[in-house]
Amino acid sequence: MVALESPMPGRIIRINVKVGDSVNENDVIAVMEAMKMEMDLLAPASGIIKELNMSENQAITKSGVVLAVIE
Amino acid sequence: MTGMNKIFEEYEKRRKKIVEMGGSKAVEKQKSRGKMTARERIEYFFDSDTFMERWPFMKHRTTAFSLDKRDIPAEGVVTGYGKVDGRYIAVAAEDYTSLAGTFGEGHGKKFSWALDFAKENRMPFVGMNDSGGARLQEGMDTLEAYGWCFRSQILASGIIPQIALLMGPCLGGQAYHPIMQDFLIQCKNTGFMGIAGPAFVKTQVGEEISLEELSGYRAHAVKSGQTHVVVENDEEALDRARELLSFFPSNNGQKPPRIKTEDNPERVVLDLESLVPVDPHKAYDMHEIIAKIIDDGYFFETLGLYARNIITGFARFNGRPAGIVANQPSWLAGCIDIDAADKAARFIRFCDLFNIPLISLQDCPGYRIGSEADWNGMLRHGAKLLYAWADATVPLISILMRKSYAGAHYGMLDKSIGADFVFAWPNARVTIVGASTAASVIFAKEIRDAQNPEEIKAKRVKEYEELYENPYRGAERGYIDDIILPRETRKYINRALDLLADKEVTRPWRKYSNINL
Repeated sequence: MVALESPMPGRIIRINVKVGDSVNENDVIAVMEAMKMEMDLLAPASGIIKELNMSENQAITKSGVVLAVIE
Repeated sequence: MTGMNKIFEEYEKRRKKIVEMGGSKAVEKQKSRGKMTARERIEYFFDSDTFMERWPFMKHRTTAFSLDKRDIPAEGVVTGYGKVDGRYIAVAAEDYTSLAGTFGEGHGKKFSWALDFAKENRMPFVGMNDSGGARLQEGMDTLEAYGWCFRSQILASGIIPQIALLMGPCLGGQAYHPIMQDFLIQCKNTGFMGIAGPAFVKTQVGEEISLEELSGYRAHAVKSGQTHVVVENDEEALDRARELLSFFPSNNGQKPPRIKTEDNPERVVLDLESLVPVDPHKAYDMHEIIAKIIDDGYFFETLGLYARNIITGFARFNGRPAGIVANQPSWLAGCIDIDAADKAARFIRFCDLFNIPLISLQDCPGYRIGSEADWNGMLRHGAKLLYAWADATVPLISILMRKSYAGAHYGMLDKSIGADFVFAWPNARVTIVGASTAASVIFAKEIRDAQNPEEIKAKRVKEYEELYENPYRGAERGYIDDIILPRETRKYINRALDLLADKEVTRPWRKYSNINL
């Protein structure tokens, strides 16, 4: 089990996966916007998306928030 | 004659014992761990036949715990001087095979004296760390000796470059030795550093953690930001140290050595125009830009795995060493956060101490904002960058590639904080704040009261953007020296460096500035 954590506070503008999808390490799982920049949130490991704790347009207020869990 | 022969024989015997270090068994064990011995490291590191050892016969004077019965060749550290690319370097290489390279009175004295000599004779110092830590048998003598070493290196800081090679363990207070040097190179599988090892951590604070996790390269290259370069093994560590030294002068009274290059200083770099997206929200890898504009694409990155939103490292322009500080838009939006400010500020100060010109490549949305940043001291850490730039007297050149907003405008080097030359690309956005923020403040009432607030906001944003989000306002005031095509960047940097080659700055005396440490 590996968690994708928010790197910094920001807004989720796009989610490319759903629970049950299989991903490879470094796939772009979602895109966050912070400080006027879009940043790709990459899969920290290969596996299946077990949990997804974010939705499009959601504001993430802290860094270190678990956004997805890959198993 | 026979009398003299006997004396020589005794001398040879004694010297042989020292050169054999901890003996064949201990040496074998050292090698089985994938490590070179201290003497092999020295031989590999220096130009052939240039090493002169000093104080090989040093011996401690403790009788407690029968320590006087133990042979500890060279006191577990080989010290002396040799040449790298023809220039003298002082070295202290710890010998783990001799009582685990433990640090006692004689060991510390050798370190401290090697450092003092290096300072007084203006040559860089390289420490090769591989030690079991404090020699506890010596008690107070060991305690005091650490202080000698620390004070010597601190008083040499800024006069001579200092590089630490973490090739074995270095745990406990001793770890202040490598950490207080200018650059730290850590071996992946054998280098360990920390304020305390796992056993001590377990008994004192109850935390169970492995040596690798607590003190290994990931701990310091990625998490703590204390390891500048990670290497696979001893050979690579020594190669990288030689490479790093090639960018530095021997001391703060010299200029860094310029080398010959075949790379045309006025080379046009067309690629730059497609590598940076016009849309300011889109990221790209700044490493690609750096590689295109420096000599032969050869970049020596420091702290590359830490605070990756800012890039620091050494390169050459027309053969001249230079330090590069660049934002990395593909990591944390390229913002300057606490770690990035710390990382860049110390790098800038190193370059300034050793007469190495600095080039800033700016594409930064600003200092990181929010409670997390503010409560952890974003302002005082961010201030380090401002201090570092304003205090610097080396040639300072700033390239505004895209975003240059607010505090980051100074934090990444602008004219007002001390840049000698500022060049902006035509697509640069140089202003106090991004248009949408500006418009929502200036026209807050108008937008709030409007029938169609979104439409009014969009109109006002556009207006502000057209007026201010460009390089022309800065150029009109003279704060931007010229607006250049991206393809001309290398040429302009090289011409600026030529013009600044004899830059001299004189300022009123003060002890030092009160940087926000």
